[in-house]
Amino acid sequence: MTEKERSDLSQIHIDACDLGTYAIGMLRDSIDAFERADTQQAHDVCERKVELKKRFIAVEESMFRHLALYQPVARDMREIVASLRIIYNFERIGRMGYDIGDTIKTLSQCCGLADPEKLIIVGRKVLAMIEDAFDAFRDRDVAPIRNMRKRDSEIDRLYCEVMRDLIRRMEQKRDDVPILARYIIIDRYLERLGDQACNIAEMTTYMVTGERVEII
Amino acid sequence: MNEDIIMDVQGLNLWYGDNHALHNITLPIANRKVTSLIGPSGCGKSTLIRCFNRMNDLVSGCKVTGSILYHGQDINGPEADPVELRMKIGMVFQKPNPFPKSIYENIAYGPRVHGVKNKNELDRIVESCLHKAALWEEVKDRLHDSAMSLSGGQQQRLCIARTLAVNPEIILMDEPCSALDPIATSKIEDLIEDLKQEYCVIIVTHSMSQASRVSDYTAFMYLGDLIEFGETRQIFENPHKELTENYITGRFG
Repeated sequence: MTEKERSDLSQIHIDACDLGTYAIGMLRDSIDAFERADTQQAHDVCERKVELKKRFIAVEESMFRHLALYQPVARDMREIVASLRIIYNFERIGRMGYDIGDTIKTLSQCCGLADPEKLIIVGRKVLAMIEDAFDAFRDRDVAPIRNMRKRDSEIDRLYCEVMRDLIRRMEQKRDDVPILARYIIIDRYLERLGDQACNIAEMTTYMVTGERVEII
Repeated sequence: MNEDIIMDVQGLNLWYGDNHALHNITLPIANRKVTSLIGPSGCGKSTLIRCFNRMNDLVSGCKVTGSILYHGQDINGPEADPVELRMKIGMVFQKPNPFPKSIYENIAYGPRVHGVKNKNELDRIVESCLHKAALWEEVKDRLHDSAMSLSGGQQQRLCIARTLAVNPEIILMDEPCSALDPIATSKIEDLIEDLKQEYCVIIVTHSMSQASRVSDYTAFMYLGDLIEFGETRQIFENPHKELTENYITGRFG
């Protein structure tokens, strides 16, 4: 392995982590915006979509170039292949941050915001899952993701609970239907974000140990 | 390993005088599969491949213990005939080494030495072997030209065709592409893929990507020891030994 190859691989990991930090920041801010009914912050999150895509393409291209130039094997191959899949998850997380932000913007324009209740709890739990999956990837350490399956099951359970709750509220107060219908969409985003955390955990486990595990 | 084992190396040791070059090697070789031997220079992979057709007999002071069972018979046993063995276990070397004869004669030579005299039969063997070596279309109109007029890649395929002419079961290849350009190399790799339908191929290579492309099984050797042997996909995706990982990822030294 040449010094150039080694430093190229290290830089790719740093860039992938930077992308992850950026994308998770978008999600965190969109959940904060939702909790505080802060439409300005939601707007700020939406503004970051173009930069997210730009960073994603740059990292993806550097990975393609590394694969073509060095044809890595063993742990180097696992690192680049796992990272390539993980950055798709990061991009998706950022995009869902954007989607949540966009939903908040729409709500404030047409319906106003109602008490999000348990949705915030789900959002915080999902965010913690994603942050732990990110830490595992960044530190190449599977310890923070050992109980990811259990945590995802809890998210799935909460998703159904929140869904039932929102439907009940819709039935009770028809005027809130436009708002609550969008809460259902956010509920669905959060459930899928839990899957993104599991995908990152699966790929990080493969990267670190070579084992293919199925979390979801 | 759930395969038809054509050759079974058991506890093989080899000394060149006082130099203990191979240490207690145990390695099964599957029939109609490609097995790669990889490792840094001096690790013993060429020494090992030369044991398979007793080429080391020609080295003075060479001593071998342990056994290499070929169809259950020890090839170093008192009843083994090295000439017959080398007919069944052919070898292709690093540098193409055609005889300074015509293309036709390069292939006909072996069968003729082994008693084939009939011209039609020799013609049939020459054409068949050139087809199998993916060379027929390129040389069919100049079979009586000198083999030395061929390009390096064509010469190497001619050497493979020459090996096939005596109807072997195992083909040993010691860095067969190291003197070839990428196009000739890809033709040899395609040929190896075709050959394994009928033959067992054992290849020594310094190219990690070539080993991962062409072989079903890979053995990693280091300082005369067999460090790890397994399915090529496992060796290159998730090797069990750190030494293997360090070598194939280029972290040696």
